[in-house]
Amino acid sequence: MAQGAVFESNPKWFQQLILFRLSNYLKKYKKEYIYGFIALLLASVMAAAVPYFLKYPIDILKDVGPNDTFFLSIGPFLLAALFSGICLYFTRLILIGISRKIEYDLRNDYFAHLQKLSPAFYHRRRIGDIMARGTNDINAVRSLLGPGIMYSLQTIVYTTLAVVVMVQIDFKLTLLALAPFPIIAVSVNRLVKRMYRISDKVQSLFSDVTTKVEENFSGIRVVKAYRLEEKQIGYFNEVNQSYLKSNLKLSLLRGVLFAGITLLAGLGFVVVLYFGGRDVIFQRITLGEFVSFNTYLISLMWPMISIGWVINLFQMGAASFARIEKIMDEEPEIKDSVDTDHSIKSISGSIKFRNISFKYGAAGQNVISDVNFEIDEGMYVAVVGTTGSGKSTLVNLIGRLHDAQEGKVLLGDYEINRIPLKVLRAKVGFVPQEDFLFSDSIAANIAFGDGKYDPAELRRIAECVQIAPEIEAFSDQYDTLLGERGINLSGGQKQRISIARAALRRPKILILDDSLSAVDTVTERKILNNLKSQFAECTKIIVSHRVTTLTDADLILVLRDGRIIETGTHPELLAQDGFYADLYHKQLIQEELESIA
Amino acid sequence: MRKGGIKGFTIAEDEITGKAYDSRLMKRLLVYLKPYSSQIWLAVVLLLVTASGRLVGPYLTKIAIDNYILPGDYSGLLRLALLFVGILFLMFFLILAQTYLMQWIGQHLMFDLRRQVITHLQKLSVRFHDRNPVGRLVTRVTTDVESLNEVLSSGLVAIFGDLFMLVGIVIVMLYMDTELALVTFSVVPPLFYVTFLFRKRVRESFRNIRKRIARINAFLQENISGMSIVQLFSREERNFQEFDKLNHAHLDAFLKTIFYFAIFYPTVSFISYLAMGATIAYGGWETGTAVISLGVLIAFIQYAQYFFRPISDLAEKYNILQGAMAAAERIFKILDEKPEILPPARPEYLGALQNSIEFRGVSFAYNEDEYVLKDISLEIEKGQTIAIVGATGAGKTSMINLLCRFYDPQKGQILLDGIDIRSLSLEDLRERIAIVQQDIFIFSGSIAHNISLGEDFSQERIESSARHVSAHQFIERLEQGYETDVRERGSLLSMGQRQLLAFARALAFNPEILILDEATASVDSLTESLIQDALDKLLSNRTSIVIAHRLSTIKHSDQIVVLHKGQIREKGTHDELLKLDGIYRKLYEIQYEDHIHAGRQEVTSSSTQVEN
Ligand SMILES: Nc1ncnc2c1ncn2[C@@H]1O[C@H](COP(=O)(O)OP(=O)(O)OP(=O)(O)O)[C@@H](O)[C@H]1O
Ligand SMILES: Nc1ncnc2c1ncn2[C@@H]1O[C@H](COP(=O)(O)OP(=O)(O)OP(=O)(O)O)[C@@H](O)[C@H]1O
Ligand SMILES: [Mg+2]
Ligand SMILES: [Mg+2]
Repeated sequence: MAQGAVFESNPKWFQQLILFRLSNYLKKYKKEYIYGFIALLLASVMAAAVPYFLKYPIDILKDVGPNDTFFLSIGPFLLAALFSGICLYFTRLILIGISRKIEYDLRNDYFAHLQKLSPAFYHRRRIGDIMARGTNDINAVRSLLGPGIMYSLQTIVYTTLAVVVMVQIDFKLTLLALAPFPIIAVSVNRLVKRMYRISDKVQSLFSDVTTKVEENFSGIRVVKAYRLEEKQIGYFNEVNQSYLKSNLKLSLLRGVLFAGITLLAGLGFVVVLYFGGRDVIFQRITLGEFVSFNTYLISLMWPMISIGWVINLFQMGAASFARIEKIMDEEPEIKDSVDTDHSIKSISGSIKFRNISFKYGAAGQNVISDVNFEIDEGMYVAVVGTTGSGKSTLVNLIGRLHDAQEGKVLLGDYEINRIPLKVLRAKVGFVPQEDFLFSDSIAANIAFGDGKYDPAELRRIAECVQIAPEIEAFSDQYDTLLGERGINLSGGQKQRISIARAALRRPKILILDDSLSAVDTVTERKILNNLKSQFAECTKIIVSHRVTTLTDADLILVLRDGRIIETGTHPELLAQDGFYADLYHKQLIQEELESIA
Repeated sequence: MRKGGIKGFTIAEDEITGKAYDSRLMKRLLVYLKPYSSQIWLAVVLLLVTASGRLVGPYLTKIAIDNYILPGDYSGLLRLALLFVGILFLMFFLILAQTYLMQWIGQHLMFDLRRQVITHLQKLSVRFHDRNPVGRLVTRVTTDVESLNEVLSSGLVAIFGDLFMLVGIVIVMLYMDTELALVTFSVVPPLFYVTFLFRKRVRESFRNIRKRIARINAFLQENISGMSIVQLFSREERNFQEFDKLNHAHLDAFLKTIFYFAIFYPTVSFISYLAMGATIAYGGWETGTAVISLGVLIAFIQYAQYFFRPISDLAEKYNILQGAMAAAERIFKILDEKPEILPPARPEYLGALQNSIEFRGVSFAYNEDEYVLKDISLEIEKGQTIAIVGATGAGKTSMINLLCRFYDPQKGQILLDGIDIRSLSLEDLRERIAIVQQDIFIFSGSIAHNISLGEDFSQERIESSARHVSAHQFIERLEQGYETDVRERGSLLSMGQRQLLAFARALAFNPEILILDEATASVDSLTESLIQDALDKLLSNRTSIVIAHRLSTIKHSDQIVVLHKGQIREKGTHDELLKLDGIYRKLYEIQYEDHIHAGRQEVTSSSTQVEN
């Protein structure tokens, strides 16, 4: 989404709310800000005084020539310069320092908030977009808070002081010199608004460029296998081209702004040269006054030129902060609430689903409809069903990745949302269908969570899931580093490490969502047997398409289109000769059956 | 990046030395500017003119004071003012032209660079991509290119402009009064010393900052991608601590830099005031002895003000330049990366596959000396369906990777009709193959786009391939059907649905050779058997390689190869392998153990079931 649009398209009250929230971040540093402002004020006063002190030596020179007073009159000038330098040091140190600290606070808050948001949020948003807010936007806010505030204060204070002094020297001349200022202000403002719209576009195009590149390299194997290289370059060039065009438009406006301000400031200079010169000729002011007046004007030129820049900083910063706040405003859907009973310290492995219905998003059809079942502690349960029938969705409800809209999930005697999330997650070992490993060592990946582990236990678990020999064959063994998403492992290795990760926490409920699909049947059998014997008290829920290896389950749930259509043990279900029996028979090798029979 | 002689898998390092000016890099950068040389010359001329233009002000002031104000020549003053106004307007257009032209060149340079980097990255082999996180490559194409542009806009050009202006000021001042000029310049050596000290400190801390922000971003990126794992494993607290540590390190590095800047700027400004004081004192004394006019002195004071800003700016620009040089170095490093998989200079021509695909004595290791495939020899006849089975990690996917030439084997050859695939062009080779990978990848965008991948396939072709894999039904049920946006990595779909989509894609491409790497592992057996029936017709004269753990998936294969720890251990048809009583038989027995043990009475009923 484009930067400015967020901010400008919102009503005034929202903009105010955003600024109010921003001020909350400033509050923490109230004291520092006050010191910073004092330093800034002093620095500016001194800086403004410096040219003023120039007046004396020059006038003495013109009137009397160089005498002792002349040399002494340079003293205040140098003292003022020294003092202004010291104050400037503190100003920078304090004000810019605060902005970095707020940046730090903001980034921490942003990350902490992201960690609270539920999967539904991550389905809605593009990762690149979330990243952009955490990087570019935080940076823009930082620029507002640091240089933005500092320079604008400096400009205001300095300009005010300079104008006061200039008025004292010559009121009319001051008016004439400042005549271009309102024109500058108005035209800069209009120009900046236009620049703003275009830089909006540039921002969103930048995000497009990023997304294109990111997707291209994430899917590089598909790109190569299907020879999409040229096409991808073509897509990329399209965004690249429009990015270039918008950038050029922006450059033109920037050029106009820059050149225009230089022109206007120069005009002020000429006006002073002419009218001031005339005043000197008619002896209304002294030459010394004329010179310090001129010096002021030159020293005002830089603040003038930076006005446009500061305005830009402010607008960008406010817009970016609004973008960050949009995320901070997202309510975590899954969280501890008033219903949470914090006296619950552990969970039971028995699971009851009562009339559960669930759908993704508000609209759309139910993905799970009116599901009921009961699982006792320590049971070994299989969930089978067609592709897209809702198996993953169902087990996700046990890990509370989503909450059902209707019905109740009970773990033991407690409704699932009464159990503190931390307690729940500590006791549910979940192996998602899509494995995700971190680019860290294998050991760190298995011990993911609180990160503490006993090496012996780690090995035991690795053996339990039949991955130990393979890991130990790697030259770095458990310290072997994984690439992004575990790119340097085979499919089955990734799955087994994911299982180890879930098993290491010795959960009460262990959920394997199709987590053995890339593992051969011999290994699968061993793993399942190990889990059964070593995790006897733990409730095990196995989602699988390999019906033939789950025949010894205590309970089999058969899902179709979000409904449980059959439940029972393998022999019972076969006897029913329904959908399950169908699934099962399709997996047998027809010819073999006959030869055995 | 480290390569080759290392053991084990490593993520490529991101460190670079970070000089601010490197003539070798500069020369390479200049190559990119060559297409725009006429624009650049124009820009340089404009730059010289505008920089001189800026110097006119104080000089005109001097003339005004000495020639008109002090003598009281009012009309002369008016003429001078009008001249000044004229110059200002001229300057407006010149400055506008100059800044726009510079930006124009910079933007085009970036455009070219982005295109070149992405084109090059596209050519680099899979091994390179294995070792370089996506986030980093994205940074190369975006942020690094932008900061490279700063070499041009804020860096070189501005420095060039500043230097030119400095030289101009020096000349004018020397011309006006050599002695007074030397007095003003007396502060230059201490100034340079201060700048030198500052630069040294800041250079180090800027490098730290860059390193630390890169770490923060990588951490953020990975943890956002894997957020559900983070939450499922209650990792939040620890992650937050880790993030806080990274964030704090970044803050510390910055506070240090701020300190340096806070000292540097006031020091420079004080030194410049010192110079001004010295100028006034010495100049005042000189005016007393009537060596110079008051106008000259005043002009000197103004020049002194102009003189020191660029010098203090130089320090800051130096940092920008350094950052940009680092970016340039990283970009060039990538551009220097040679694709490991090179197409032959003169590719051999191979028509439609006539005879066979052959692996001949192939051995392969991802990391030195860790062979995952050992002496593989295998012949696949045209039109055959061959199955590869074996324990997980045995090297099945690796064989496919070699056939697609994602990697090249260390020993042995892979031949199509007797021609080594290394002597075919990559397009020619990959055009023959369509593959459903074990790690499927779905692009964001519509379902139709995911099947056609941008080829202009007709809607019928797209739909019929979706029908063959039984994906049509679920697609139809989606609100926007084939136009549904499936989001990043296809997150709107169930795993099985994503797999079906990847399968439909492979069929739509109508390949000579079809490779299915666990293509139906996450698909239920009913759907799978429907696909099988459809495939039987589709694949009749196509060569296909099927990898599967579920033996029912491969029951139709002409040949089954059992891979064990990187070696082929058994080869033959299903019946032959069962009789062999080896690995395959064991796989089989485990998969069907209850069935085999379950007693025969039930078997008869089920076998009739299957035939329907
Ligand atoms: N990109 C890679 N870089 C380094 N090592 C790799 C890479 N890909 C695979 N390996 C290693 O090569 C070996 C063989 O892996 P491969 O993916 O070929 O197995 P597989 O037979 O397909 O297994 P699975 O059935 O689990 O998919 C494994 O030990 C794995 O760790
Ligand atoms: N994030 C999501 N947003 C919207 N719809 C979704 C989302 N995830 C899944 N669905 C839809 O919900 C249905 C059930 O998906 P689910 O992943 O639970 O199926 P599944 O039974 O696990 O299938 P598979 O065997 O393929 O893994 C599917 O039709 C799918 O398209
Ligand atoms: Mg699923
Ligand atoms: Mg594999």
